[in-house]
Amino acid sequence: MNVIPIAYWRNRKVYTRMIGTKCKDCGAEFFPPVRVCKKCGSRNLEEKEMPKNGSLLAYTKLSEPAQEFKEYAPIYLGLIRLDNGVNVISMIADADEEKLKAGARVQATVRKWTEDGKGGLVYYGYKFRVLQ
Amino acid sequence: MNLNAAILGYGAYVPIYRIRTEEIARVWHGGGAGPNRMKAIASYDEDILTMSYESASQALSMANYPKIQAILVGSESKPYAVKPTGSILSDILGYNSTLGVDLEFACKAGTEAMQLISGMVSAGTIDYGLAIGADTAQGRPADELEFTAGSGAGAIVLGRPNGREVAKIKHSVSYVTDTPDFWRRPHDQYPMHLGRFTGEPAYFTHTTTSVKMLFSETGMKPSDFKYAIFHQPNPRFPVEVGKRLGFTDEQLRPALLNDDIGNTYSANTIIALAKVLDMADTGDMIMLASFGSGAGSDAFVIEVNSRDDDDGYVPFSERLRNYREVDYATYARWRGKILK
Ligand SMILES: [Zn+2]
Repeated sequence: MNVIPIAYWRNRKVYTRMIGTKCKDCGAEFFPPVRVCKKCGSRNLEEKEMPKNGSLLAYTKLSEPAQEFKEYAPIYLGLIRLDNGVNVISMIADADEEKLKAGARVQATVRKWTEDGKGGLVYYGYKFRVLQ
Repeated sequence: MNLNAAILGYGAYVPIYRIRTEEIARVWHGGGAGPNRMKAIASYDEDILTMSYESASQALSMANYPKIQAILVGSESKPYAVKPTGSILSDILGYNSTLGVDLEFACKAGTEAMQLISGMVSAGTIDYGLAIGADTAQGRPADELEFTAGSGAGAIVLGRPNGREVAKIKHSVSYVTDTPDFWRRPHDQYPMHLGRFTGEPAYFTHTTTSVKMLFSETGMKPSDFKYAIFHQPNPRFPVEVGKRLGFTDEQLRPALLNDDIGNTYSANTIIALAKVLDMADTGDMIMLASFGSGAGSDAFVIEVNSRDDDDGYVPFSERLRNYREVDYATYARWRGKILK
């Protein structure tokens, strides 16, 4: 198990609520959050919850994913453009290859990412699913 | 007890996956089927925390995200034996100044959450609370419970009546006794039950007693209600208990779900209430009675007001029509029934 509980705990708002950052000077939004604006270089940033809706740009199917996801294979990873223009790479929940088309509308939900064996922590985070 | 509480929003979530009971019977009994046609099963990455989140998101959106001060989650399939689901959920939903509590009473833990929060808002100790019932019910492979033990979550946002509420919760009663119809010891994966004993001394006795208490305290009778919702451990029991109490098919049928999704345990009656609220009109009266093994029943009088649907609102029954069937092997893999 590679997830470190304290690192996950520090970032839990990013992983479950998709809290990113917004530059107070130029308005650019970032996810995952950044300390320095990648557009204008400002350090004047605030927390911003990302929109939960977007469109699928592309996806890939992982038949041999990393160790902590191995028992869930295949894993579908999507490149998603959120409605604020920010791109996110996310696992796809309830993936159905017939519906994974570029342009498909997707919505974020919270699912189990992995768990640390039977006695360790359960790690939750965002996944996107195709809207019907 | 008299209550002055209101349902401000509700949500129901059932995973997209189903297994036919014919498929379960094919594997274990050489053919046949269970009492229900299908049951809903959670995917490998779903549990009661993720399903609670789904149903709570719907309920909070309908209620316009009020300041929640209590999150009560009823379940018998918690991700942790010690570590509250209510606290994980509070963080994910963004409400930290709140009570976060997990409740357990087999299939009636969800209505306990509803009753407790209704009492808190009626007493004025909190303004808004979130009541959830959720389960990924466990049925031992080859046991008769495996046909029905399903997955789902129901959530209700409660506050005081404000004229714009979906419905008022006017009265509630509970009846409990020590009845050994069904139980699970701390380190066991699957529950034990006493087969036929689950009918008369457990389900029927407790449900009819709580509903008769409700009638006696309120002076109401079956014909005062447009809808009657009973706990649905299988397709037959809710109809039979309803008939015994004097309700008609027309009052009972709208809530029925077991044939399509099985028994979603703590979510069972809350999901059925969501289905009924989707179709109810202003002024309709609803009688709801849950049942939990061990054993007890909570009964409620609910009066429907109105609901302003978002443009995007999809009624629960419509969402249920979209499902995917999986085979027994997939179900066994996802629900941890294969030793590795
Ligand atoms: Zn900037």
